[in-house]
Amino acid sequence: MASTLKKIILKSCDGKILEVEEAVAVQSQMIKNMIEDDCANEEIPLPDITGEILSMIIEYCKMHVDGENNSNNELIARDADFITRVDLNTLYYLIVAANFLNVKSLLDLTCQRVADIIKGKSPEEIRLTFNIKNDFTPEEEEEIRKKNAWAFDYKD
Amino acid sequence: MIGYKEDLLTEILVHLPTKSLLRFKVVSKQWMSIISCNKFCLAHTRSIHAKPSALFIIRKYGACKGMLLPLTRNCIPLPCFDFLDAPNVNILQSCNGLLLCVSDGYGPARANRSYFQRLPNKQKHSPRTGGSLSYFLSQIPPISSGLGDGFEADLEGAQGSTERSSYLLQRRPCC
Repeated sequence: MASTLKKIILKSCDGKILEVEEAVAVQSQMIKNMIEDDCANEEIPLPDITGEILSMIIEYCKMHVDGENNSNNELIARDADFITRVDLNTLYYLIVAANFLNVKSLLDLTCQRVADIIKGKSPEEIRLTFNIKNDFTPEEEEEIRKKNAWAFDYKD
Repeated sequence: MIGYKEDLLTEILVHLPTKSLLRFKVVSKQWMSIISCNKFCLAHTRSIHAKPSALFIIRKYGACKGMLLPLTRNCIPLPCFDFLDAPNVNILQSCNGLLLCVSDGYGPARANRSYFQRLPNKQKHSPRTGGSLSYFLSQIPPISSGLGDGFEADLEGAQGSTERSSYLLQRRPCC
């Protein structure tokens, strides 16, 4: 019983300290490994994660721990509610953090959300969204477009 | 920011539908290289989102021109290939929703072996031996006729050296 109430202390890159129940913190495979290796007794510094993002991730993990006994559909609905509140820019930071902390279900959720947002876009819109420079020559680009012409037949 | 982080970008791209991926090949060389990579194609096919809901098959020759084969729960894991009028159809590879099938015909071993694939007009590019199915993704022709409810058809029957030598099977999720 005592071990389930153990708190893990996380420190964000902007100095925010968050105390998290172990059951919630171990949703992160990285933290779980640290606990198993007995490296989580002091505060864990998270160099690339801001307090705001960290709070969101903890909210997500808590939701999953609390919802363990709920039906699958209920969890999916909660996930959807959680993720649709997040804008694209925040999503990127969440992805980086979920990847670093190794929270697989959150990584899938966030990546799927980005994919849903971008799937109907044109290549030009993608470049703008991700700030990517087109490094194809016009001839190369034309060639690829020709080969995949049917994929460019899309609405909106 | 994330547009240049290859591992995270791959995580995102693997969740996209095939059609978006083909379109996004022109975004940049990096995107092209990720999307064209065999390992990525495999991961994409295996991701739950690539589960097919139907097979659509067009025959170039023969009485039956086209056929839509639902892959609903009732007929998973694999449908019967009888309608192809070819013996012993096996799936060799699958990639991004494409199936590469082979039929071992009657007669001497391998003599009548037929590959079910789309051979581009330029036969020299034929991936007949050891070809990767990702190749086909750049070769899928536009399909003009509507197929009706909820299916996207991204394939065509193909022409081989003999009348019955090749087909392409393309499966697409129901949208």
